[in-house]
This record gives sequence, structure tokens and C-alpha cells, in this order.
Amino acid sequence: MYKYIIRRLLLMIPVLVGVSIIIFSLIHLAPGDPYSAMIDPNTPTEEIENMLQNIGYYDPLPVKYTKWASRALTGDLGYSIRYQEPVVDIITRRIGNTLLLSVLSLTLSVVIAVPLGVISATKQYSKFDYIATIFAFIGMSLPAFFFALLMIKFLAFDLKLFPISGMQTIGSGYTGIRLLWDVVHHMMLPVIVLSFLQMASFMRYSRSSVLEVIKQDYIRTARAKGLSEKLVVYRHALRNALIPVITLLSSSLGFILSGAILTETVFSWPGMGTLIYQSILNRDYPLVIASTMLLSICVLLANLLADILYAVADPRIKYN
Amino acid sequence: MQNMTLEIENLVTGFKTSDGAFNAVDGVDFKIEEGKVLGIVGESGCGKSITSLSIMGLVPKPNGFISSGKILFEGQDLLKLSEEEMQKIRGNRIAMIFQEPMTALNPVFKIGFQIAEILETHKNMKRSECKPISIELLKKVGLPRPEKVVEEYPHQLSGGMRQRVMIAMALSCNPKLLIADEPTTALDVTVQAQVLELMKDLKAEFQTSILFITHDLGVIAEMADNVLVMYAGKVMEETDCETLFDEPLHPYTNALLNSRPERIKPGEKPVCIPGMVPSPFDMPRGCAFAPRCARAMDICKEKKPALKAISSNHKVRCWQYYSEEEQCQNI
Repeated sequence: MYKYIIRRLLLMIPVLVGVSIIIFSLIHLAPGDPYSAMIDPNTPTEEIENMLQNIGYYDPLPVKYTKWASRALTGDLGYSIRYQEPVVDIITRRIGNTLLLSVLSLTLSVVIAVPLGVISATKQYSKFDYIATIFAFIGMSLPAFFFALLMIKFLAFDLKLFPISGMQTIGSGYTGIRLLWDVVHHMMLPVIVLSFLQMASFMRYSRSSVLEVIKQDYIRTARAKGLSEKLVVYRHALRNALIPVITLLSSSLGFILSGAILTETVFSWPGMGTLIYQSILNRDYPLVIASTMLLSICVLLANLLADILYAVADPRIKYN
Repeated sequence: MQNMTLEIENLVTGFKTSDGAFNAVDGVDFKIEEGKVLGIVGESGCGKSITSLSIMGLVPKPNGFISSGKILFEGQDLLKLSEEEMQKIRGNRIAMIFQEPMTALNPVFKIGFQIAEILETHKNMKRSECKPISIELLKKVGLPRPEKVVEEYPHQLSGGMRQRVMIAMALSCNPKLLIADEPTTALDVTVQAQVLELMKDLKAEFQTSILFITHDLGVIAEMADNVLVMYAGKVMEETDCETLFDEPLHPYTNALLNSRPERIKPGEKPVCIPGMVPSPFDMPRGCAFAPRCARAMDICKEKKPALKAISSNHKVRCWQYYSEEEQCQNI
């Protein structure tokens, strides 16, 4: 098992190199540059050309890539053109905010949605099942930004239950417990939106998975043993039904660091999602590349975690 | 008069489907004496398995339902019991072995745990006390290296070993009634013989009654004291094992006996019963077997015969064994 994990980790290196080349090429293929907006439009063209020449803007792509890669290997991910700050500093400042949101909403949605899915499956075609299905349908088909706007309109604007956006009340100067409550209060709406949307797929997934498992022969055996219906469902069926749910969980885990771009943007949440969105708009090359690389590492690690979890959940799966 | 372990009276088990409802088991009566083996034979889809699931209270819900009848187990009507009361009987006083050993064990739990679960449920044992008993049970059903097997998962065992585990599980509480639904069908012949031998030994040791369901007449000859021949949800013939092979009465029983592979001589074509089991939605008006019966008469196509006692231990459902007068009265 350990050998397998190490081999998988080593295999990630060439994948990451490939990913970085693709990202690097793609972002440079996009039209526009990060500098035009920063320069006084009255500057003579030759001067601009000269400056761009000096900072290496006209270097061929392979040269640029090599320069970036050799620095990245030493841990230097460059300077953000827009924020005039090291990329690493910006990302470390933002990543906590995103983790707060994504970990909480993912945990909430799994903890709520999987049991709901199981109940829905065991009571197939009951009122509960229909209501849950309708909500799941809404959750699946509503776009995140639209649902977020609806929530802002009703819960924040009309009912004034939550603040509309941001992470803290600006200029409040809260500290200690009051600051904590302020952040929690700001967090609630985005967490509600994110978990509702994620719940939908977790619920449908666990429902169909349980329905599949409950037809199996070993469930009939479990009943024939005289086990209570609770044990049959939550011990014998659930353990098997969770195996496919791991796939969904790992794909969600892959995006835990990159944040929900749309939801964060709508709520002006100072996390990775808004950062990636803005850095792409600004053509902030170092920041885009660093954050997308982080996202790829996260996805690769999540896939590895999923494979390890498969082996833990299902004794038939063994890696050598 | 022997003690009756199981008495079934007029059992009717139906299914609702999108194409309409039908009765998979249509008025079945039988009795099993203590320590005796009753075999049920018949083609696929004739209601054998549904009969056994009805006894266990495991008819697939919500489409399956028992619409009438009595299932008396040691004098108690199982159909009147609540789900909780049934759970106390299942796996404890009535146990069941299924046809497919490959899929009947839960793939994610260790063998030891799957046996221990039954002991925990019915004998209120602690998990730690169960292990030696599980090993003992596995030893009894002839599994090699039982102390290793309890720590293994089902996928590490062969089909025959898994079926032995199923038998060990079924026997863990010394049941009064063991229902074996084609327990040897999925096994190869040598393992089949071992498993049958094992069940015989256990029957002798614990005075367990066995309801043995199969479509293999050879296995019936080996195991059963009494035999029930079923077709399209109904009992066609009921007698003791010897009589069934020596003087079969029903044309269906005869046809089954004639189609046994061991009766075919080299170079001859196998004898089969023409046609198919009728669809439950398209049951013939008369006897269900009439369309395939070589000896069918006019009355067979018009009216269903009742089960008629020919002697004290031989009943048959066929118009041939009614006198002309009786036939006329019925038309």
C-alpha cells in the first residue's frame, strides 16, 4: 500500500509538468497583456515597446516557461503584476477563507445529503422521496450564481437575516468573539448556497447507489438472518453503497482549495475563487498559473485519496 | 401422529406489476414433519422460491404480497406475527440457504463477522464470545483451516466454501426448519455431493426439518422423504419420494422424469417437454399444463382440476384420475 502511494505521488510529477506547460501556453495565447491597463495612455509607443522588451514580454514561450519553471522549483512563484506582492503571500492569505467555506459546506452537504439519500431509497416513491427528489432537481438545475442572487434578494435584502456580501462588516473593528460571530454571520449565506447545490448530487448519488445495493442477494441474506431493518440498511447496504459515493466525494474534494468561483464572486468572498476570477480578467500571469497549479495538485491528490479510500471501503480492492 | 414443524394451508402469494397483478403461488398446501425433508421440484418460474420466501416473510416488497392462507410453524401462524416477532424467528428457528453462494455473502464484511452477527442477534452474545463458536461452526461444515477463514472476506473463498459458510450461518442457532433454495445448483458435482452429505448429517444430528427446493430430480431422490411437484404456482402431485419415482401419476411429473439426462442413451436425442411455462398474465383457462400435455383431453382445456387424493399419501391434480361421471359433474 505504501509503495503504491509513493509510486502514485512520483507519477504526479510528470503530470504536473504537463499541466504547467498547457496552462502556461493557454494563458499566453489569450489576447491582451497585463500591462496596458497600468500604463498612462499618453506614453509614447516606443517607450512601451522598450519596456516590454526589457521585462521579457517578447521572449519566445519556451524561454518564458523555462524562466518561470526554474524559479518555481525554488519555491518562487513570482510577483503578482496586479497586486505588486509575492504570489505565495496572496495565496496564503486567501486560502484559509476558501477552506473555511468549502470544508464547511462540503461536510454539511455530505452529513445531511447521504442520510437523506438513504431514507429516500428505503422509502422509494413515498412522499418523502418525492419531496427530496424535487429539491434535488432544483439544486441540480439552478445555476449557482442565480441561486445565490435569489438568496441575497430574499434572505439578505428583504428579510435582512444575513449581510449581503463580504466576510466582515467593513470598518467595524470587531475583535475576539464579536469578530468570530461577524465572520460566521457573513459565512452563512454562501455556505447555505454551496451546501444546497452540493447536497443535490450527493443525495441523488447515494439514493441510486442504495437502491442498487438493496436488490443484491446479500441484503436478502442479511434479512434472512433476522437482522433488524436498521442494521440491514445502515450496516449491510450503506457500507456497500458508499463505495460509489467516494467517487463523487473525491471530485468535490479536488476543488476544495480553488473555491467556488461563481459563488465567491457573487458574495465578494475574499477567497481563492474570486482571486482566480480576477487574476484571469487582469491577465495576471504569475497568479493565474500559481493558482491553477495549486488546483491541479489538489485534484491529483483527491484522486489518489479516492483510490486509497476505495481500498479501505472495499476489501476486494488491493494495490500492489 | 408425528409432530408437524410446518403446515401451509392455501397459501396465495401475488405480485403487482405494471402489466397487472398475478399469483405466483396459487393456493398451495403442504406439511413437513419433524426431522423430515420435503422436496419441491418444478421448472423455473413455477413458484418454488416464492413459496420459500413467503415462509420467511421475505417476499419482495412492495410489489409482492401474501393475499391469503396460513403458515403454521410449530402451530403458530407466521402471517399473524409482527415484523419484530418475525425477525426473532428468521435465522434463529427458521433458517435459509440460497441458490447463489457467490453473491449471498456481503463482500465488505469478514466471514467471522457475518456469522457472529447472527449469534449476537439471537443469542445475545458479545462479539468476543462469538469467534470460537464461529470457528466451531465452520469446522462442523467441513471447511479447512476455519481459524483463518473467519478472518477472510467472501471473495477469498471458492463457491463451495461460500456455500458451506452459508450453511454454517444457517445452522448457527440450530433451526427447527431449514429452507434450502437450490443450494447446490451453482456448485460443481463433487462439491454438490459433499454439501448434500453435510445437510443429511446435520438433519440426523439436530432433527431439523428441511424444505428442499430444486429442479434436480437426482438431488430429490438423494434427499427427500416427501415430494411436491409444482407447476405455475400450483401443486400438481404430492407423494413420498419412492412412489414419485416408481409410480408417477401426473403427466408433468412423467415428463420431468423422462427428461432426466441419465435416461438418455448414447446417440439419442434428449427428451424435452414441448413449449414453455405459461406467462402469469396469460394463464390457460383450464389446467395450466394442458397446452404442453401429451395426454390432454377436452376438459383439460376448459376447467382446472382440483387436487385429488388417490391414496393416503398420494395426491394428484389431473382430470385423468377423475371418473367420467366426476368429469361430467364438473362441466
